[in-house]
Amino acid sequence: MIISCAIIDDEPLAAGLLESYTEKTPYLELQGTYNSAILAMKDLRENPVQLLFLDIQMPELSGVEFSKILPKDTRVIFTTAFPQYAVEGYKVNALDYLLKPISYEDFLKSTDKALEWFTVVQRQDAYRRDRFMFVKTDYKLQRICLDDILYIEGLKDYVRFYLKDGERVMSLMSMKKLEEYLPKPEFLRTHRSYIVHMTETPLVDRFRIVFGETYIPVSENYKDEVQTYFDVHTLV
Amino acid sequence: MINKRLKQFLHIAFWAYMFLSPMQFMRGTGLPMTQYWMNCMAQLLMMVMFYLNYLRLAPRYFVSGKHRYFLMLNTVIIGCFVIFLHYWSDLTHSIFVRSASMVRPDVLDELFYYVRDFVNLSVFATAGTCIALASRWFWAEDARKLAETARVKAEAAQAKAELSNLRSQINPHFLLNTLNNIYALTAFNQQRAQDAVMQLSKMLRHMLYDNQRDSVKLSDEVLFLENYVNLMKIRLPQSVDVWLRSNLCNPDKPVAPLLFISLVENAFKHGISPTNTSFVHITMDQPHDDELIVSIENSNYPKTESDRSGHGVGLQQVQRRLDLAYSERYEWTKGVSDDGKTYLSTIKIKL
Repeated sequence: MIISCAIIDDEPLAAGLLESYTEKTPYLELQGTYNSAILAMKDLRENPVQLLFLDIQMPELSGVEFSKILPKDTRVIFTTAFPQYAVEGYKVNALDYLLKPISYEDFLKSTDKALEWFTVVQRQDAYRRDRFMFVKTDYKLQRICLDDILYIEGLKDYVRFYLKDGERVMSLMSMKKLEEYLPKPEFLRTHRSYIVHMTETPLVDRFRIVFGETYIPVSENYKDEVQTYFDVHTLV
Repeated sequence: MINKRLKQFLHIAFWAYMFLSPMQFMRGTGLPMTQYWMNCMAQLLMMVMFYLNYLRLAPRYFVSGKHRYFLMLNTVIIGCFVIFLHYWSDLTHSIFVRSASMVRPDVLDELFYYVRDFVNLSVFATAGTCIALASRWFWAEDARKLAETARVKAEAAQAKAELSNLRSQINPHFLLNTLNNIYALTAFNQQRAQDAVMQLSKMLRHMLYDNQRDSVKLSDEVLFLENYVNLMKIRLPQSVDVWLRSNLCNPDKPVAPLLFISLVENAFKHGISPTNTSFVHITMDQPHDDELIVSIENSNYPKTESDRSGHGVGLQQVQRRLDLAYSERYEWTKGVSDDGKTYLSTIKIKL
């Protein structure tokens, strides 16, 4: 995955250093470097980047102010020499902040975070849009349509998909990742070992979800979310 | 410190007791009051002895070490008092005990009275001295403690003043920002990075050590500002036009240190726009040995209300330093040009 990025810093050297770091990092593609937020505004609105390295302390328009008018798909990593401004940065939902002077290690830690975040978003978007996923099973990739899933059971390192036609598919992956990728609240975790396709729920019996012979429990940790889902969808 | 009112009360109560307590023995004896009060001469003299020592003799002679003189004076006074008391009691006796035959007491009795009075008066003299000394010691301890706290406070205040002095002379952000830029510079241009470290170290040395003196060489001060300007240049885009020009006819002339740094800082703070053409021009001119003209001109991009970090503290600082070092010997003009595009500050000093 390639992440498009831009740099805004009023000090040319600081910007230059970040520029050299982005060149070193294979998954970053630098779209532009700007010495002022005002100069960057037009470009970043017409051709939004995914990731923006934004200096907080700048004359005329500060980084925090500028971040509020960015396209909403652009995530920000703030850069500042003064930790007291970093707090401001978190208030505007920054992905991370980097304290100057910035070493390449620090930089990479932050961009890795960004990479992970964009990877998840990319998958979420793909599954949501195309309504299917490939799962690895016995050295093959098998297509599973989201609409065919009834529920998913977690088994140590594997998960098992229970499909509408009675088929069961085993695949090596973690429940945590799966839960993250699947659209919410259409799919909800009800238990450490279960993710349920809520729109396919046939029957709820004493707060257990019943698929034929199988009773799927709702555990304390996930109760609230499931309860809310049922409340919203219950005719009264 | 003993409450003053309590002290007064104790004194009065004690002497009232001394004067009035013998009254209980008069009950039923039928002695006239006048005789009683005349007999009180003994107490009166004790009181005189006490206060004489307490207020005068002890502080004046004992404390200053004239112990022998002090002892002699007391002995003489007490001696006089004892003799006086003897005649006084004879007088009282002759007035009130008229009927009784004047039997002269024997010599042994008489001697006993002398000794008794002498001892009594001595006791009060000693008491007065002791109390005077004790309270003196007590007060001295108090005063010492007071002085100690005052000293500690003064030291803390001075340290704070020095610190804030240093702080107001140079913005701590400058230091951090410059270091960050030098860090970046090491990745691109080692030679320039080395130069920058050298400049920063010279600047700091000037601020930390030369600043302690009342005056420095004019050339040192110019070098300090040059270093500052060069370090600022690293942080700015190349398009910003920055220079410092100096023309000194006597570089060794002494000048008060760090007079102009706040103004130069301000010029960078309010003179640089990332989007428009900007400049900072500084000239330091010494046309005659005793005349220095410093002018600082910059493009004017005033800060918005929300970003007025300094509130003119820098300018006040400059004014104060000028008043202290060159009162009545300087002219300072400053202001925005008619078209509002440039800001010019000129200081003329008779060195």
